[in-house]
Amino acid sequence: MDTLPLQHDGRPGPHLGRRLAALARFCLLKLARTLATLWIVVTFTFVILRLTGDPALSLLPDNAPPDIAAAFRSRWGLDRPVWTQYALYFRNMLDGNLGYSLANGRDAVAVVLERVPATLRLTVSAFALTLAVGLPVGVFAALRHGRMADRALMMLATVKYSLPNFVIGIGLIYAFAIWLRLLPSSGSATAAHLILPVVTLGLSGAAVIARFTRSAALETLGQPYVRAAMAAGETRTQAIVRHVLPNAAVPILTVIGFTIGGLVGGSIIVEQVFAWPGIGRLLVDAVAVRDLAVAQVIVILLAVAMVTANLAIDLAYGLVNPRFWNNDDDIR
Amino acid sequence: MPLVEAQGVTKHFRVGGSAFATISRATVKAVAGADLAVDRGETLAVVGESGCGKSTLGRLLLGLMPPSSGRVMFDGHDLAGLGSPALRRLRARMQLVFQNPLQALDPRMSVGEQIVEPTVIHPAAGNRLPVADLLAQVGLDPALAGRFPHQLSGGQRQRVVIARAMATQPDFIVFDEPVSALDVSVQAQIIRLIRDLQTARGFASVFISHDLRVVRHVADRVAVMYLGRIVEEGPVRAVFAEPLHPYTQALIAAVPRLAPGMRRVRVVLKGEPPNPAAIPSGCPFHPRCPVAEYDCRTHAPARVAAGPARSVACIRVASGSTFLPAA
Amino acid sequence: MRDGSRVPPADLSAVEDGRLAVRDLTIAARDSGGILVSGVAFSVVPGETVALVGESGSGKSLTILAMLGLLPGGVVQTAGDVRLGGSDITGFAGDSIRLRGRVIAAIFQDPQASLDPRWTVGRYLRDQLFRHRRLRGAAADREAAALLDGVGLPQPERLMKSYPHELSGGMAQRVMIAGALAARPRFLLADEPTTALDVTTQAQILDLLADLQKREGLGVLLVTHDLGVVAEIAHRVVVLYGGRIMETGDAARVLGHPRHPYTAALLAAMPDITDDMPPVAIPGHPGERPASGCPFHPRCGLATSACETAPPSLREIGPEQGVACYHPLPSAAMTQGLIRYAVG
Repeated sequence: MDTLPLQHDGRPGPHLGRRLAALARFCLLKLARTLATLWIVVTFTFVILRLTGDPALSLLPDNAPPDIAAAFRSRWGLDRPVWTQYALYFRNMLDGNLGYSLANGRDAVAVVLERVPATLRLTVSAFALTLAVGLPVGVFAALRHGRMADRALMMLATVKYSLPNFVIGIGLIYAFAIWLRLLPSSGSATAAHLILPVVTLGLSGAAVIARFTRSAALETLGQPYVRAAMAAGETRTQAIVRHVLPNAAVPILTVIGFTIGGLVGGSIIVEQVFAWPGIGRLLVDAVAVRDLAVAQVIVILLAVAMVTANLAIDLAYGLVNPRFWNNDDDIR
Repeated sequence: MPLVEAQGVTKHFRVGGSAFATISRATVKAVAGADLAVDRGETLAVVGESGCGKSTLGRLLLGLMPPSSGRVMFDGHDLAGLGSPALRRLRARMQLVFQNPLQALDPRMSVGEQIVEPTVIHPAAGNRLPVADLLAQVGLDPALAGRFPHQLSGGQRQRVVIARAMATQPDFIVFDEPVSALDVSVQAQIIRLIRDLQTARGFASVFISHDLRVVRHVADRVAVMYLGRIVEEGPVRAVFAEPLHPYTQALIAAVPRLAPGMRRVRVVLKGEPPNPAAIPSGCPFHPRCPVAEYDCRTHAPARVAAGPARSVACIRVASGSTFLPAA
Repeated sequence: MRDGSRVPPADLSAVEDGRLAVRDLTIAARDSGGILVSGVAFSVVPGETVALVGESGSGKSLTILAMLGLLPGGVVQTAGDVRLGGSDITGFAGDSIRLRGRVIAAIFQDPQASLDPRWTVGRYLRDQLFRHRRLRGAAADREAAALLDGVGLPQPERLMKSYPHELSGGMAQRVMIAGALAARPRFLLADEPTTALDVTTQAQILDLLADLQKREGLGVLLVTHDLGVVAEIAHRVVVLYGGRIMETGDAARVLGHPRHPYTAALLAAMPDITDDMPPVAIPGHPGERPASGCPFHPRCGLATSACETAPPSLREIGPEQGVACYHPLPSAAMTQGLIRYAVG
């Protein structure tokens, strides 16, 4: 009998073009969500700052005559209805004008931007420290699962995780600046000034990363493919480097995204504790005097930073996951 | 009139969608036009390989999910047409026993509590038997009533699940791979138990399994499924002794034999079942069929009578050809 | 504890023709000290298939993991050794680690999960070919395609680009086998290689293993719970129960005329597709472990008080044939003699 040229699977595999179209759709969706997030954040800040205090009272001297205060309010448009102010703010924003600092009349964007390098120096170093400590500690604990070292490290991580940053910061200042007199307690003049704030900020992220890295590595260590790789001739170290770490990276990446959020929030407090001249301190000052324009610029900046970080994590997540590139390309 | 009857039942599922949604969505035709009937007191085995739709069919027969088309009749009632109180009353007469007894049992409830649970849900159902009697009829020591699932062995847990299914004195039970997770020596105990209970209680059952060796010893009739279709159906002895459909033949030929000298023939079947989301045209088995002819690619054969109480869906059978060389 | 007289394998060729032997293997739980495998001994020579058969808790998988030096964390080998030719390779400690995967390869129960989800089939095969044979580039690709062809997988170019989740179970097991064979091993340890597969796929993989075993002269150690699989492809069989060897010998003879009551009971419990005899259950379950004596005695119909006190040792009852029982069943010859006597 003749065999027939039968084929049961003539479906074309997904083309690269289709995958890239999906990627573009994904990015567009993210952009739309980002804009929505920004609108909510800006509105929220506006409402909170406008409704909870009068800048004229906090910026002008207590004994300022009423007509000066009125002139101040009219100069900055504070005497108009809140909704008009809100609409004006958005119209100006579309023109690229994010307003002027009430405190000194300078362009709010310029005021914020000159503080950005200091904050970047702090957060980027802290982020590097978070990864440099958190990842190895987590992997090490997973490899020593259930032994003394594992238990001790995880207890330490839990303690670190549950202590607020300002407690840690003050503790470090007491130990290294006041008692040991090794490091400066505040300011930003030298590289040595960087150490205590970076350690304070970086270690709390590291505690989170270590815990998650440990559980992700433990789960991956138990996968059949790790055993199979060793049976095929890999040493334990090779199997860990080649199979455990790359596969554990997927869940860890997600947590790193959350850590970035924690860094941004944490930097505001750490800058206060160590008198670090970054945007965190500027934000606290601006909120205190209801300097709306400056506070808004910082909030927008932080929101954009967070969204960008999360987008980067999402993309990295897609890239490390082969299923994204080969979704349902069933070759049976 | 049969107790349970499926008439042209289909079930489609939408699947797909990932983190980067809408890349790929497909319709899986898990069950594609199944007709079957189970008489009172009879056991019908549904066999096939993973993804053939046998478990979905079992759930359709119990009315646990609505069919996409076709209808399921239980004791003369269309399950889809019943309002919930009527359906609930019927439900008490049907039970499901599935593969993993540890998943089927609540870890925080004692054995005794779990066993009477169905009679609490269906207060009107049957005569209530005491827990001790329910346990005794599945061969368990009544003293086990106070134990918790994790304190039992795998075989004991499956007995508890069966005891719970028996609590409402059902007319119809679907067993979905009830012995697949058990050790061989324990598996034989449960097979024996199911047969004994059936003789004593006279319920009808559908026994879903991938293991033809087990089916041989529990079922009266067997339906062979491939990609959502029933390709052959008939009395279990007749079908296993003289399978008509090429797929049934391949399935039986693939079963390992114990007796020396009875070793199976070399495999004639190439490849593996394709994805149920991409069912081939015509007869779904044609790409793997050793005797497919041109028409098989375009023509989906209907199941037609083939000998006493038997039916088969294959145009080669209808045309009277024989297939495999005798083993 | 293990003795220190380890002979490092000086030369691969010296061990390649030797047998793979396990002696007095004993495995215990780390915390409780409970004995999981006790005094297991057997050997495999190239060109034969030996089946380790047993129910859950029999210690069959622990034995194979111990042989690979891959026992899970909570479990330790407390006695016994594994020898390849004349060399001690217990746990693949020290220098012998380079023999793992090279002279002794392994495949496992869940083939899809045994492949790294992030590695393509091509990367896996090229990695194996480089590690064990220093092949790379076009030569490695050619050899990888040949390996895939050798395990019955068509379209090597397309397959090499595939990830494990795109493969069916049967394809994944074939890929695992191709990768295991990349090193040209002398022995293949297969831990329930067909248990997770459908019956037609299982038959294909068993045929493939039997073919490879003949073609490459492999020694195959097959762990299974299915006596049908044993009957299909094993030359010899080792029946385990409760961490001890119950019976061992030629597969056809053991399955045809079991001498140990457990083997006989297990055979009777197997449903057979051609037989009208319903399976006969063994009372109790394999999880019950008596505190002393033969591990099977609580479930054994022939057990006496002797069985409860000390476990019987494995007695030679023929060439490469042994049974560990105080009350072994009569041999085939004896049964026939009895029948002749009875019939007159």
